[in-house]
Amino acid sequence: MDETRLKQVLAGIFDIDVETIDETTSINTVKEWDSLRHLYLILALEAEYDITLTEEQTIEILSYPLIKAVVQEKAGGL
Amino acid sequence: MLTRLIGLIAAQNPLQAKRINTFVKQQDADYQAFAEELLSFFQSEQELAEAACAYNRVCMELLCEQIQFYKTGVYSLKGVPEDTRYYTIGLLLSYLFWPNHYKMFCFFKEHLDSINIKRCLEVGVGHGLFASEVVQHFPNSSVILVDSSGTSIQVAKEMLNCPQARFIHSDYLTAPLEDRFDFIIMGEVLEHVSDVVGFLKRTHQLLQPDGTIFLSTCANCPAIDHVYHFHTIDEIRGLIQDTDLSIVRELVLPAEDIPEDKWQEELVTINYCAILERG
Repeated sequence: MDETRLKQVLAGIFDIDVETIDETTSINTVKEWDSLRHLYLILALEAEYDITLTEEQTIEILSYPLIKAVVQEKAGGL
Repeated sequence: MLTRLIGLIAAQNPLQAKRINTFVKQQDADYQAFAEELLSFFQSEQELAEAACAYNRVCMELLCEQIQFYKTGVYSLKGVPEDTRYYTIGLLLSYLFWPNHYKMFCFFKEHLDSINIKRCLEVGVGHGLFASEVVQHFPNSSVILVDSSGTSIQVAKEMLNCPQARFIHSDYLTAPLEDRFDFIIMGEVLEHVSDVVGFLKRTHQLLQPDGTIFLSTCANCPAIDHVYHFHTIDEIRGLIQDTDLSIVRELVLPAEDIPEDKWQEELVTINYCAILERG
């Protein structure tokens, strides 16, 4: 599975290197992951994959694996 | 108690916990005292757990409103559910956990230190935190609280626990208020009503000639129960001046660290509070 596209979305929002994003990436490991950037992340994911997240999903996607799972479920792939 | 509450919030919402911990770590002893006093309102572990749930629910709703606002540029006008107790409790905790709300509360307390109050009116009681501070500063003052929400009045009654406070469950514009007041609190009210000018005019009428008003509101601040959309702080200032009120001092607080020339373009939420007097 090519995850580069998803990682590029995250890297753009948090202003970090794509290479640093992996399965351990989360709100606890990314200092720049604050409320405003989380909001921007949701907007970016919805625009990039043409999806709409549920209320619960908007506060659940706090790690790379969870984001990947939600995008796969909603968009049917990355 | 503060640590326990943050732990309960963190268990459900790590994003909020990260934000709260960053803020709380920067605060001083006065904040800790304020926190303990506010949290004494919750008298059991169960009430504290319910408060954490209420706070998280309000934050989740707010995030969803912000998402919609960024997409559309307008408020959703969704409205609050019938049982608004969770919402009132969540907003009460916002004065503990949201930097701008805490700064506005400190601004309010500083004003209380500079005046004397005999007759106080609070318009749109909400949770009663501000009136509670007036009662503590001026135990002999008479305090009247008006709100159209029965739930808000009930929460404020519990918060104040004050026999001399009189509660009026009514729309403010038609509430039976005859005498004038030397201090009027109108915190986070204007954005909830459509007749903003009517609210300001009535407040002007009810203010004694040498009295003061504490007003707080916000621009570009979507929430499920926000009706009136101020786009800029100048819109708020303009309405104040149009009502023949003047601004004694004010506080303008952007919710994010973004330069002022980008506030409108980026739809940044701006909190605003001011001390007003007759113009």
